[in-house]
Amino acid sequence: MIHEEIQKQLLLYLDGELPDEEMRQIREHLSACAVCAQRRDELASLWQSERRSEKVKPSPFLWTRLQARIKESAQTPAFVSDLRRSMQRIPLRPFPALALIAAIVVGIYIGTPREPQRNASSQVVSQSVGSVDELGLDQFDVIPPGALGSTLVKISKTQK
Amino acid sequence: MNEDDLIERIRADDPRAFKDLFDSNVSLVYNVCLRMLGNRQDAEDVTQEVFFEAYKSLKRFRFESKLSTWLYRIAVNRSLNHQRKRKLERWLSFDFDSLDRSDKDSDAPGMPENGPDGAMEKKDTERIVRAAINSLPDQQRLALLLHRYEGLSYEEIAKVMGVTVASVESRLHRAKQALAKKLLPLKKEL
Repeated sequence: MIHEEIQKQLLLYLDGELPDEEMRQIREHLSACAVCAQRRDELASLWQSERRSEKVKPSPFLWTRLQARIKESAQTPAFVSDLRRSMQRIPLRPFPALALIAAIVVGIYIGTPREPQRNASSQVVSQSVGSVDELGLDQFDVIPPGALGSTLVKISKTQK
Repeated sequence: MNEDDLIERIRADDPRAFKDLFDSNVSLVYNVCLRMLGNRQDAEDVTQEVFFEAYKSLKRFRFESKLSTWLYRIAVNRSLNHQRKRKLERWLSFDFDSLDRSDKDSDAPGMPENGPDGAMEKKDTERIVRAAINSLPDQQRLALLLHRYEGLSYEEIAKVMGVTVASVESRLHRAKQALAKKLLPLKKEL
């Protein structure tokens, strides 16, 4: 087995939780490999010093609080006491979240194109175009024949 | 106190039975919650929840498993729920700094008071191991806590977690492999 694979198994080896054959292979490797043996010692010092420690005693008032809760639940309907408790658990700092939600809503509002207004303006444009068509104002030559402009154009062309 | 006697008294609606159930199991439940949550106040709140739920559902308990296993199961589920809820609350209130603070400022058992160098080094060691354990996925962490600190057998852990014994073995195996990888580089920090 390569070193990395051996080191991965070291906690299981230290706790004797590997099959016999694997335990033997690791033991042999550790007796021959100084690096892995050092790793085993390091890990053992961490793992075994942080062993089962003393239990912590809970607050002596825990029973009193529990009794009060049991009494309260007997006097009030279950959904009322559940609702009251869940209200108490609402985070104390909801303002940043509300501010973010408000900013998103405003951003969406501002960023959304105003469909009704755009339709109205396009209607005005189309109406004005229609009125131009009716009068025939869109059907004219750039320089009407016989105009002074057309004579000037002709002169400039002959000069070229 | 004999558990069979306690069960008989609970079945017979003895009013003192629930208090005795509380007294004989409160330390166990509280310490599991404390290991899971790393904070005394949260652990006390969840311990209260556990016994309140036990009180409400005691009549439905079929006494097929040990009372302690049943209480462990409630404690584990409640602690996991509490932890998820806390994380959500911190996200909602933009308290990102405290999302991983529990690893550092933990009240979990085994913390000696500040004192001589030896005690300080032990404290560092415990902090490192606990932080590594806390970084494991929930199911692996839970199996490891119940096995290592509560001394539960694989069968008992399987009942508490509602999985097979083989699954517990596999979770513990993967947890210890992951921990070895995490702990070896950390040792150099000491």
